[in-house]
Amino acid sequence: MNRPDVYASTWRLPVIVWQCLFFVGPLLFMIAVSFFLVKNYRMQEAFEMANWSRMMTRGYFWDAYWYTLGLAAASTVLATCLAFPAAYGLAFKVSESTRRWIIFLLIIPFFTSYLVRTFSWYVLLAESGVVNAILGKLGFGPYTMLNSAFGTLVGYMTLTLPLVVILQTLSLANVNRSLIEAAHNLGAGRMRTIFTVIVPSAKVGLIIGAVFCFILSFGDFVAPYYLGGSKPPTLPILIIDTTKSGQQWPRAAVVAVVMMVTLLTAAFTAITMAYRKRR
Amino acid sequence: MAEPQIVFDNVMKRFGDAVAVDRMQLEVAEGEFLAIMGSSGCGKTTTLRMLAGLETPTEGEIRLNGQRINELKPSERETPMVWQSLALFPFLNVIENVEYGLRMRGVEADERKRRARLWLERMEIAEFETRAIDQLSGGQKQRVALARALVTEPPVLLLDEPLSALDANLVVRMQGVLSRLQKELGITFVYVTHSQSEAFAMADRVVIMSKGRIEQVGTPREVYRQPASRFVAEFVGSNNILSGTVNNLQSGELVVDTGLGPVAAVRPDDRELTRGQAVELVLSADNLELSTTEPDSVNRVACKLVSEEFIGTVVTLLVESPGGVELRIQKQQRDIDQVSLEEDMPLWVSWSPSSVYVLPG
Amino acid sequence: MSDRLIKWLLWCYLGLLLVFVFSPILTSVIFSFNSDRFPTIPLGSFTLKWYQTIFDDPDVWSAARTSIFVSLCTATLATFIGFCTAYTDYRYGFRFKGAYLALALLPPTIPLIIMALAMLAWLSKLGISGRAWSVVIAHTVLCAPFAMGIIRLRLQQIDPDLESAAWNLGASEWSAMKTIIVPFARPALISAFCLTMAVSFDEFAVAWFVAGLNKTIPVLILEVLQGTTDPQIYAIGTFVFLTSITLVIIAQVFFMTRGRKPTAPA
Repeated sequence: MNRPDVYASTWRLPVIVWQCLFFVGPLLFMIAVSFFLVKNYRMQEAFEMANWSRMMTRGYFWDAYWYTLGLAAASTVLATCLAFPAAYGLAFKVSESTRRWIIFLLIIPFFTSYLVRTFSWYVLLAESGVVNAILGKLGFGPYTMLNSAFGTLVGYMTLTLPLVVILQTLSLANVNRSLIEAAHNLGAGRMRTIFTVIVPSAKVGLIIGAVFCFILSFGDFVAPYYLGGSKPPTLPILIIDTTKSGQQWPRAAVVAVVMMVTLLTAAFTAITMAYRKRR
Repeated sequence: MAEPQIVFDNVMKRFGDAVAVDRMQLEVAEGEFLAIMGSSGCGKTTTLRMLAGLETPTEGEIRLNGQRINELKPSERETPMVWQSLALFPFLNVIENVEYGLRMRGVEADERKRRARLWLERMEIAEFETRAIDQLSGGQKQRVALARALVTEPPVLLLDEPLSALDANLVVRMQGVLSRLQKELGITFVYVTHSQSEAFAMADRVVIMSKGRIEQVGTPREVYRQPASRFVAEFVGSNNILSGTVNNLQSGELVVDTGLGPVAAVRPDDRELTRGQAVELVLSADNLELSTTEPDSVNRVACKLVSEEFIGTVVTLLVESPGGVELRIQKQQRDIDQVSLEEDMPLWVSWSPSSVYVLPG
Repeated sequence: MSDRLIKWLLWCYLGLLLVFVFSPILTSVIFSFNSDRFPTIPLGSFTLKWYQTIFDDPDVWSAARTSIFVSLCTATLATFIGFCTAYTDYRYGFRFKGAYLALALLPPTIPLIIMALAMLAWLSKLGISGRAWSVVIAHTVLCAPFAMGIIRLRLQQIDPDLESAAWNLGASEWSAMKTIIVPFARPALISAFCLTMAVSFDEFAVAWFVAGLNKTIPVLILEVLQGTTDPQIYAIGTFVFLTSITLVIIAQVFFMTRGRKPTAPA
């Protein structure tokens, strides 16, 4: 049709306008900010490589980068492995209605304050906290669990595990049952069936779960700050510190852009792997 | 002379590369009950949707009462439709569904309630006025859909396989309802169906479509007895089609050599035939006679019974000639009862030359 | 190993997982009623003093007002934008539709801390940072995809003939929208509204960056956490939990509705 379709545009345009203004706009502007300068605590629009060359040559930045990457990768592997038995049970060993109920239970944490939950772990895992008190009764400990990578990972699991279990369950539940029966028929054992039939069939869903886990862990500042003691700081903590103290937005923007590039690379690699045809 | 009410003038509809309707030429007279038949994907529903304005023709022109309507929006046409899915609004009750068309035309609440009630009464569903749609039976939903389409008293009603979801008994009853309604209202019905029995039971004229083209337009009798092509002859069901060559040509008669042997037929007067020409003959299954003794007929062949099938009071027999040609025969149950049948017994099949139809082309 | 043993082991594992997921939530509820300043076992005595503390704190009240304002506005905007997008996806096919959907759905894949920084810089540039409205804008970007998803699923269930049937009976596209599509999608609209409200009510990273002095409840929690660590956090947390869970349950109930209830005659 040649004349503009007012009706269609009414529904099509809002999201385009809004997302360009407040989603694409901010992200592009952030890239621009990474080239700005700060003088006398005021930001000046410019196109200088100063922030980039400064951040890229600082040891603390690269320490933070590899530490964050390592933690997020560990979190991804951990969450994927911890979630799988639960997702397997939910997908194959319980009734449909039980599955729905447990998934509903797993959705609830998304809507409870992550901050409060983290603080709960802080209290539970403290030297004189509940977990050590219980372990003490059993004759163990006390252990130092806070201000360590362990603490951070507990926080990451709090954030990501329910989501990973849900995504894995949904993809496993969609695996064609007759494939599994066929595998059993051909004499494949339980473990063999899981690794030669179920995992490959549910590959896309499993990888998407892992990607989300990685994104969430990589970008989270609460767990490494409160449970990991921010020693060393992770990239998100670096962003907060540079932004909140000293108004160094351009340097924070550099960190953010590096994070974005890392995430895009990771996500792209993972998705390519997920959809690659097996030979 | 006034133009017919609905005219499809060289109408073409493409979806991408696929041609859904191919250069359609069709006229529908006012007050006619027209059935469009064909298997799925033949373009019959697209034709109906173009009439309702839900699809726009790629080429050609559709005229209603002489006016080009290609560009009219669906809401600007008076061509309500009864949908295959019925498309009743699930969150509105029965009367709210029926008065919807009036509401959209800005009719006052009291007036539209009154008119909707009249139609509910007419369709004999007045007592369900405030029922929710999912509390109705299939037949009741059907009546609501009809009332909803007719409440605005349109000149044309479009029906898209409206009876396909009903069970067989109900289909026959609703056919009666539809036929009567169409005669009482005197408006045009355009009825799309894949069911031959529905089309033949109700329609004044039948359109047979295949792959976007019209194969034949005619009265049910014409389509049945004088199919325009092999496709139509096969589509309208119980026909035996024999290939052969013309052997003997006389003034009123011809003989064709077929797998059954020579078959005498009445010579068609609308076209030329030559000796040695390949032709196809149609023998309607209901025109074949059965007997256990040799009949006194030009066309007769001794066969053996292969199988029989009963649908209601109609029996379909499959018999095989000595040459291996299979013939379908349709008879009423009580006719069959007079010829006691047994497996492998010799049977004589015969037919008159006037019942043999030579396919054109 | 027998099937029963495997099943039993999986159930135990599932139980442990749920304990892990829910122990911090239960901890916060239990300790919000516990009298000791540092929460550990054995428990102290039952008390409501932490609730009393937050009840008397004007900062908590002002944060609650901001939170309610922000989440209501966010839910309204996000549901509207989500509906527009879902309807466009349901009804129309067009060139660049993939790009269109990516634009609409990508925000949740960007880490919040990055969105927070980008929003802060951009809204400052536009001169609209540091207000409650700034949070609304940022939260709408984050929440609209969820609304879109929920509403799109509902539109999936609509008989595609319904809208055509409305046009066929004389309804313009606008009237068909008002009388058919919106009533059909209503349960999903309510569901999306509640869910986006809950998401906005809990979000702290972006709100912390762009809110300025207009702290929302989660931002208040974050700032309290940086100073003291006493159980008033738990009292606030329990309130937030109750609010969110109510919204989620309402959303769930409406999401399950098939929307076929008879309407009372007008």
